[in-house]
Amino acid sequence: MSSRVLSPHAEQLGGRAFGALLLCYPAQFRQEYAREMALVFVDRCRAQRSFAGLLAVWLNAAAGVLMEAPKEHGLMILQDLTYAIRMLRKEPLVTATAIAVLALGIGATTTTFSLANGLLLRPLPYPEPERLVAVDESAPQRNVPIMGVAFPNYQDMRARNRVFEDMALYYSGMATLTGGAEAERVQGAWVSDGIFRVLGVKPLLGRTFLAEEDVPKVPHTVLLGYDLWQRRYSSDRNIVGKSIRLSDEPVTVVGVMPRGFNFPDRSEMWLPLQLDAQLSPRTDHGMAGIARLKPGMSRELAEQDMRSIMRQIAKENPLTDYGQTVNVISYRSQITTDYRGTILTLLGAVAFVLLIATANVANLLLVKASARTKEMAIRGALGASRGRMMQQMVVESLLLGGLGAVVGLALAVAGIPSLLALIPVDLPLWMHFEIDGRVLWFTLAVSLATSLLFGLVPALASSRVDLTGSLKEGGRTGSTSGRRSLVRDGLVVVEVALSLVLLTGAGLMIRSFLALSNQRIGFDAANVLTFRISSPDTKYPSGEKGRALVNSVR
Amino acid sequence: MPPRSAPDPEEFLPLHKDTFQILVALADGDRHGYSIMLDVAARTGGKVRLSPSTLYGSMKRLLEQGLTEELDERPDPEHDDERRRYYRLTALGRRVAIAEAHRLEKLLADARATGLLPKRT
Repeated sequence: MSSRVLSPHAEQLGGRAFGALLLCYPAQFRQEYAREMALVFVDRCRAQRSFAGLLAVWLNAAAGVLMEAPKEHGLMILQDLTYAIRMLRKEPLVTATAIAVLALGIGATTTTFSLANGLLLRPLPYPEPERLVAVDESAPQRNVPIMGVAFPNYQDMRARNRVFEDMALYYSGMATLTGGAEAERVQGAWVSDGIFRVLGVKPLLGRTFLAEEDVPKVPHTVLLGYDLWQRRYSSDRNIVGKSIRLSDEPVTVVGVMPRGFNFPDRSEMWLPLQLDAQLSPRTDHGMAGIARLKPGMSRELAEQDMRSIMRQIAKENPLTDYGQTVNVISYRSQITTDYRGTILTLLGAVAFVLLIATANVANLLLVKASARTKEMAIRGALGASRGRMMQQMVVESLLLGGLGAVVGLALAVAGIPSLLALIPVDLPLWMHFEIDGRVLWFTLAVSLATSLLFGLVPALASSRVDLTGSLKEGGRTGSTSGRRSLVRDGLVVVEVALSLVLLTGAGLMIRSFLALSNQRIGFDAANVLTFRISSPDTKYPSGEKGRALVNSVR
Repeated sequence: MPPRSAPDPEEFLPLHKDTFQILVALADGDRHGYSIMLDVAARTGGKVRLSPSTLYGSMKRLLEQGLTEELDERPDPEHDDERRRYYRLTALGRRVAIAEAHRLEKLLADARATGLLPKRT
């Protein structure tokens, strides 16, 4: 036809291009309709008398594919899901067992991950926590890797460095609040004046310490923690400026810190260090250093700068600081070092538990799949492709995995408080172990991976059906079931191997625990108790009075 | 099993406008896909142009719901391409299309009764 816009060859090419666009559709839909759709498309192109008309046909067709193809996918998944629900309901015992096994595996993994999340991944409760670094001195030549910072060295480092916005020192201890109806021992921290600038925390009431309050022989001041302020001072908003008694000495409250601020661990009050550099030797290393890196400054560069400063200090003070160096490490890694190994080991162990659960469910589904050989054969005979049948099986496993994840998540929510109750020490208050977005994503990923893992093996096995054989023999014998039993045996071997690793790990742990408990400590510890009493200097200034106190207790 | 009663056409309503156009196109005879497209475009003055995706997506659902069926024979051997498939309205499809037409008629009557549209003279 002379009035055609395109040559027959170009039309054919257009048809092919449209055919390629139809790849967006599910295979089953394509098998059924793609050829005809391409035919209709070419017909419409052929009827156009202008390029504008042709363009309109193309746009209309492309928009149609983009709108309708996702809809077809959705409908197919919905169909699979409905079928999957029917299949799962048909065998409630198998379904319940699989969900229970998965829930245990996923629940244990989620619980442990929420611990790892709270400890290693959640940001610390300070602004830009990644800029916080711990500063510590060490003497590698004397084999002292961690030694704390000496006050005069801190003063030199703070004055000379070019890498920190500010640097501060602190140490924790207990203090006795008196003056009320009852004395109370309170955990506190003695801090140098820059600490709140380093941490980037502002008080709820009043102010933080001034530089002139962190010098020796000035009136004592204190900052109260939120809980202490609520508990002991009934949230008195006029507390700032008032005097309270600490170890029977008057101290002026200068401010109240916001709720949740418990630096370094569980402190409820903060006092200025008020150290005298003249009276603090460079060999007295009792304190921890913390600093905030300047914006854009890396930890490595900061460490280099601090080490060169330390070399100068050592040169100036060879008697006290010879061979000493400085380590600058991220604050988070410093405060989590003690737990990191345990948590990672625990994560490894529950990963094994999850794998065992997965292998168990895979085995269960394989048995179920053997019983469904006939169903698959009939579906195959009716024209269902192997991919289509596999998709159906995978949707079933995803549904099973999803249900397992929901129950597992519920177990984790219930299990986290009980697990925390088992930890014998008071954890720092900044550690939060609730289920947050990251834990939910993790659970989703784990259940997805698990579902694919336990679903794919039976899906592959049962979609590879020998049609006539299965129909004739009722799916009980033949090469397919032989292969399947081999897979099943393999899964059992994997399960036993994983269990063995877990059991060995647990056995070793119990053995080390027993060995530790039975270790000789040099004296007979049976029926020996320990306790502490505190005797404030104001009340017991001399050793004699202190001895008298001990004797009176005895 | 008790015998399944015929589905109530009302259960299918309201129909999507494209679906209704396809059923109307099939009301006066069996057609293949392209012929349905041409008919719809001609009846609506070119306002409704079904894309191949819309046509065959709707057609798939119409077949599944039993409102249309695919023909084995070819009613138009003259102008025929053996790759084409022909579709026919089933009895249920016809009843559903009529029910939808009545529904639309009722809507129109309501619009007229309230004065939204001028009354027919």
